[in-house]
Amino acid sequence: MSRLLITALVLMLSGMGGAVHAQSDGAWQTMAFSDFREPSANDPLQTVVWPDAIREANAYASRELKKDLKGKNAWVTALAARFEDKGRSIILSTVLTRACDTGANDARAGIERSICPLRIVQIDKGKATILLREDRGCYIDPPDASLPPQNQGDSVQARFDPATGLIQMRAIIGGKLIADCSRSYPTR
Amino acid sequence: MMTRTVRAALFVCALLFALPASAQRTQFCERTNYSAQEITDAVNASVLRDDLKATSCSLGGLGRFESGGNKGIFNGSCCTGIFQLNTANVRRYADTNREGYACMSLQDQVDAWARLTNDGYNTPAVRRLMELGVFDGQRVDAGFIASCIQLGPGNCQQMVSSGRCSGFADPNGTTICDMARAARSMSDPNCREGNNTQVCDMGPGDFPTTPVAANPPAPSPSDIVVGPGQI
Repeated sequence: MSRLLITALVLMLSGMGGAVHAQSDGAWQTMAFSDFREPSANDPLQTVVWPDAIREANAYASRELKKDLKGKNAWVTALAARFEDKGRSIILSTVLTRACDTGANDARAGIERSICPLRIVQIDKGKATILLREDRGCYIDPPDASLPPQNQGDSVQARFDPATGLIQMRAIIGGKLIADCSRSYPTR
Repeated sequence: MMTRTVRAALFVCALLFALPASAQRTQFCERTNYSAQEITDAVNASVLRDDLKATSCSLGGLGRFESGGNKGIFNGSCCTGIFQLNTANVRRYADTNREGYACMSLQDQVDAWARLTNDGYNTPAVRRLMELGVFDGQRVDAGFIASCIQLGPGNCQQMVSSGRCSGFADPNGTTICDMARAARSMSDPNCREGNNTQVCDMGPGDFPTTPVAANPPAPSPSDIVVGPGQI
């Protein structure tokens, strides 16, 4: 618990920097992509939300892949959205790990969503609380130039309703909403 | 007999040339043309669990089916390499990107695929298939299990839940049953497996279930308790 408090303090002092971008006007926002290979002591995603996932990936990379990480982390990536609500911050995140179902491995397949661990963390008055620890939600890599034109707008998005405190999440692949990526979470 | 063979060949060709719309294939590093036997040899030398290695002739066929033996090919949307691993799995099981993966050796690529397949072996869809033994008229052998994992455990679960091969098909209509059949048909007719010559003597398409059944999954928890006197 004290570790969480210290981390939360660090986050407040650092102004919650990093890739997680805050927005709370109720509009859909694309969840920001984070790459954890560079260890960070003040990225809330690394220190508060996914420290166990990073540890597990590092252990797998060293033990199974025989990789010398040289002080870096294994290649773990995450998506996250941060919302401000009456003095508290809420972070919604999914992480790509071995616990995900990543869809087809097939020459005829297209881009599919991965179903991955999902967490919601609240930071309120310097105290970090995990509101949701064990759910699963969608993850998609941000598009790169080598992907087909119809996939250049692929994204996982989230929004926060300031009136009700409800977080919603959705994914768009090839211009279409993906039904099994829709999520709603009350946060009050 | 001839009609059946021609039909099977046409079916495999149709699967091979089906690609996601607008996807531009990219060749990374050198173009290779590994044979089914060479892929099988790499599978046998990999970390793949032993019971799946028992039918590694079909897995060589699976590699030919996916990439034509070209380990440097990216399909333009999701998948790269000899077994066409998707980009997420390339990162998780090889700790690299698609270009880095495409330029790995055949053995390193197969090792990454083997780790993915070993992890997939414990998913509910695979466990259920192994309990069933036969699915929609098809014997559940190691080639079938590998195809289930290849098309994704979630997609495979969708098929298992439906009770039919047609319960899941990718956007081009390829089912897990189609993939298993294609992999068998593309394996080397003279395939010899280092650890299990008995399987190879049977030829492609004849896959014993014994090696898989010899390692059944752990029992699932049950809410039905039967006492010794109640049997």
